[in-house]
Amino acid sequence: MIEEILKNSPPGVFFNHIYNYILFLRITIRAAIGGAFYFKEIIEQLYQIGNRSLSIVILVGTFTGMVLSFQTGIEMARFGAKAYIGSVVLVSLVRELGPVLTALVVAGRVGSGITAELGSMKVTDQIDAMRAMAVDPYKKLVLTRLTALLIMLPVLVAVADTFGFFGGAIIATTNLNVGFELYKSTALNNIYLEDLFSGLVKPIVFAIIIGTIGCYLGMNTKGGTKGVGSSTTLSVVISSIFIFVFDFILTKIFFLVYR
Amino acid sequence: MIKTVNLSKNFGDKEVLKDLSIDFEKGKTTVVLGRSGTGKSVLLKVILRLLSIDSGEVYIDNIDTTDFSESRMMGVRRKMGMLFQGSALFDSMSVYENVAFTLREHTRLSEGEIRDIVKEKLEFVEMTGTEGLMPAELSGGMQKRIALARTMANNPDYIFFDEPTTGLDPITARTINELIIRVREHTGTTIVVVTHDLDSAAMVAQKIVLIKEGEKYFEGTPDDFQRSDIDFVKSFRSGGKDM
Ligand SMILES: Nc1ncnc2c1ncn2[C@@H]1O[C@H](COP(=O)(O)OP(=O)(O)OP(=O)(O)O)[C@@H](O)[C@H]1O
Ligand SMILES: [Mg+2]
Repeated sequence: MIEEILKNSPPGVFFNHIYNYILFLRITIRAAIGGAFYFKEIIEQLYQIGNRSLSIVILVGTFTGMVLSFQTGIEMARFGAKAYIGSVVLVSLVRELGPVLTALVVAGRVGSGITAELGSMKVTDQIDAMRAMAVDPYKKLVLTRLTALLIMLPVLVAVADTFGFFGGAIIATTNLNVGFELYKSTALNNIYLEDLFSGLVKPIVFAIIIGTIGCYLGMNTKGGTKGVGSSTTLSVVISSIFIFVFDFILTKIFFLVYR
Repeated sequence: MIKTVNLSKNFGDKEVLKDLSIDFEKGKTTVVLGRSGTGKSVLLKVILRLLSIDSGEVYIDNIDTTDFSESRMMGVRRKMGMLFQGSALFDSMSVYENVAFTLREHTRLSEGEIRDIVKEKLEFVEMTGTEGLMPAELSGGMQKRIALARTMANNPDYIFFDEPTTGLDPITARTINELIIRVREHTGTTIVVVTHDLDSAAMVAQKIVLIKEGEKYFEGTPDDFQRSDIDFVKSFRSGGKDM
């Protein structure tokens, strides 16, 4: 009775999730070692991820670059520093906005899709059917999705950064009277290897967050179609929170390392 | 042969299987009868270790599999097949891909050989020509047939049927029962059927086990089952009329 109440209290639910998530990670890591390798499924997932998020990522990237250029450009013009607009836009995109915004888009489009798909497979016994046919769903479903995300998210971030850069350029040339050559040269002169490195590490960490949380919640869905709905929502919410939290943690680490 | 010895399974405080000892004899069809919620599906899932065992043992071909890890169970499962209560067809795959699933996973057959086997299994379940359909386009009875074809694709030694006739009209149910009989006659597969459908049990069983709340109340031939004067057997037979 008391046990039951404790288990269903918010902290109980929270710690139960943490415990099960760690179990999930252990099973997934074990599944990664040896055995079948699902090359075709990974290609399929790469396509799915690209197909679901590429256009939104382009849109988000472009507009973010434009808004960034506009907002900071006006401010910088007041201090006579608007020539450096290219550098501000590119550094902000590469370090911060590109990874975070792309990850949020992918959490909403792809992470939720993964949870919904695995969750409905779970509640209709398809996951158990797979195990009964001697196929490891962690190899065939979880690892393939995780691998595809790890490959695709950095690519999508690069796309967002690129479109953001050009979006910023449009505003710089049309509204701020900064020529494209100047915009480009200040940008490229002030971007360092550290920035690119952080711009690569962040998407990898975010991919792990989106993929493991998405798959964990899917594989542990209970309670029929209703359960699928709540897992899916939870997947987006929890992934987004962790993206923000880890963005801060990683930023802090990079500053400590490079200062 | 599959044998469970004092098998128990709980979910939290809830005891679902209690000290169940059942022999599933080789080449025969054993029907496990019981009311809804008595743990029939759980029994099958525990034998396949889709659910863990709490206590007791499960022997498969005289090997104690109780302490087998998930990866060792994978080996055992290759010679077993299960038809889930809701068919559990992969709904993102066509009928063809569903039936070809284990062949693609566990064999190196060419596409031509796979196509022949799929065709043969679909013929067996009388679903020829449905290769291109998606599971959502099939009726419940058709889904059960496809699920059977999928299970039979790699010629398992054991097939478990979870409520194969539930939710079907009497005529479709009858054709499914006939299929179950045909599977055993054609392939010598050891079959376990769990159901609450007495007509189905009468048609397919060589042996009947009756469970109630996870405990065994009766085990014997269908004739013994008809003659038994154990109270619960009598009331189950009559659908609760003389309770
Ligand atoms: N994964 C699970 N977690 C918790 N409880 C479960 C789980 N699976 C089954 N149960 C419980 O175990 C009991 C037996 O369930 P089971 O599905 O085996 O019944 P059944 O005999 O197959 O019934 P039916 O004829 O309706 O299919 C039920 O009370 C069910 O609520
Ligand atoms: Mg059941």
